[in-house]
Amino acid sequence: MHLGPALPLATPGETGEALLGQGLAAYTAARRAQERGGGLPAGVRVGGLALPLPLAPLDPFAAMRARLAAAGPVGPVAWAAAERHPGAGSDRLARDAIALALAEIEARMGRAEFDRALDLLAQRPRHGPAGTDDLLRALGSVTGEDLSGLWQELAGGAALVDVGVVVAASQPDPTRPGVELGRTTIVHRGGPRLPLTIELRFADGTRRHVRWDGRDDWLRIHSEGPRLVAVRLEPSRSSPLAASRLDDARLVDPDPRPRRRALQRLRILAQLFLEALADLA
Amino acid sequence: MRPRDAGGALWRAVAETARRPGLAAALAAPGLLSAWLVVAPARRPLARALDFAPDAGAAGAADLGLAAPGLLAPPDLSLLLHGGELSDLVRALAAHALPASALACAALLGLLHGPLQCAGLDALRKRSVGPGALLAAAARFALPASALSLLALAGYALSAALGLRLLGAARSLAGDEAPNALGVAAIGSLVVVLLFAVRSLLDISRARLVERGPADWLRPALAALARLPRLAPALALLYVAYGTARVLLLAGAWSAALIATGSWLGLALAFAVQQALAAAAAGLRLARLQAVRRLLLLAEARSAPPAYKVEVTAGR
Repeated sequence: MHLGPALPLATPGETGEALLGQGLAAYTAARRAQERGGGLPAGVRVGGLALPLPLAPLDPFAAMRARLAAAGPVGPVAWAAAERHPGAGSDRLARDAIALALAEIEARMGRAEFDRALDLLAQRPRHGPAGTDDLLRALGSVTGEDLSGLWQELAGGAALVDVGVVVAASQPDPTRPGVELGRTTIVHRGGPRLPLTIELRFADGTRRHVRWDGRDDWLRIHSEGPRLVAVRLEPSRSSPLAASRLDDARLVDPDPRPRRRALQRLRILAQLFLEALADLA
Repeated sequence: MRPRDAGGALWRAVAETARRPGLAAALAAPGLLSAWLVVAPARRPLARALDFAPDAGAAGAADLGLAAPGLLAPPDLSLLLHGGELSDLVRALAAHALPASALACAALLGLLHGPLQCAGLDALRKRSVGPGALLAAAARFALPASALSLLALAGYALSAALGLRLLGAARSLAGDEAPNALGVAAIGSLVVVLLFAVRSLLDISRARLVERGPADWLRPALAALARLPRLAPALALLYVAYGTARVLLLAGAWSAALIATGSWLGLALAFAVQQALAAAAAGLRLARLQAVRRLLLLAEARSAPPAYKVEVTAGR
């Protein structure tokens, strides 16, 4: 998975304060749109004309994530565009990254506590734009923890968290009948190093949680007992900064049904598109 | 030309086509083959992305395009098309997902549509049967029908480009304010009329090509174009009816894809329904061409001088 470009967001001084202010505004607007069930209207832009499409509105945080992911070169067209407009839209990316970092903290703290922290930030005695110190003080007074490390990690660069389960396997123990040996490998490919919880699901329905501080590049877990069925990162929530949710979980035995269904949808979509062209010509 | 004529012509053409389901299936075959060709390269990245992902049909599938660059899957369209902001990403993904060879094969198969429609109309007209006769007729019409298709595509592109150019001029004239709504509506109407003209010219030319054969069709086709102003209302009605039915068929085929489960039975049922609807759509396209041909013949019959002669002689 390609990550977004590294942009220094934790800049002290006026630039940092301005960025934080913009990020807070973007976060608030996105959350308001999300709560209203709205978001960006679907459509395509052709020759300066915005043509609406009959699709559900896009979750603003998903749009931010997509923009950050798209900022990484994904192919020849994007590379050419990046060469033509170096640095274009980096302000927007930085704003998106701060808004997503705030959403990540909100997901970790809980919405009610995060809102209390925002209220404290708004009622701070100092005048002028809020700085990173003000934000961390407000968050710390609500949680009772020092979140500066987490903030440094989140705001160190406009990148998505790219952590994935790359191996999930289980095989019978040759020396002990009825016992399965499970093997799991989780890799941190890039982006902020955030602590996370790993859930192992076994064939008898039991679940085991393992906490990882995310500091290392990879983590290997060996298990003994019932057959390992699936491994999932952060089972209770999904990270707003996650580069991909597809590798956030992995089955031990493949399930071809989603692929078959996706392939059939792709085929009929292609067929309908080609038929529409045949209608024209 | 009355609206009843258009309705009657379409209805009769639909009834004729419905009696030839094999013909409709043959006309739908290039679309099916092209779709399989275009999608084939996506099989491996899809397997990599989805086979080990639990609940891939739900939350994870929404990230498919981001997780597997080089892949453009239906669940991502809602993500990728919003606001047009991600058009670069869509283009990049499309460039990855459609290798040149698959695209070239699909384009070649796409070019088959024109000759096959002419061959289908010929088969309807002559009541001929058999795939051999259909293919022979398609080969006979291949060159002129493909040329007509390409000309029509160029015509659509020119009409759209002209509309966008005019719209750009209107916007620059308006400056910071929104362009005049009346002006925008006039430009839109002009584009619709141009597109309608291209469509009508293509259908009339094809009808003449089938009737006169590839050796001597251009002059009769040009002569038939003179009847376009008289035929226009009936043709417009015909196209609106066709478009409505086509949209319903498209919606049915896509709904079948959305409802299908990943099991073999579910997939087979959805495939059968989709292909039946695709064949119905291909049959409907043929019926539209047949209806245009009938309307053209009707217009010629009505404007022709009477075939009889009355001579009155009086005397004492």
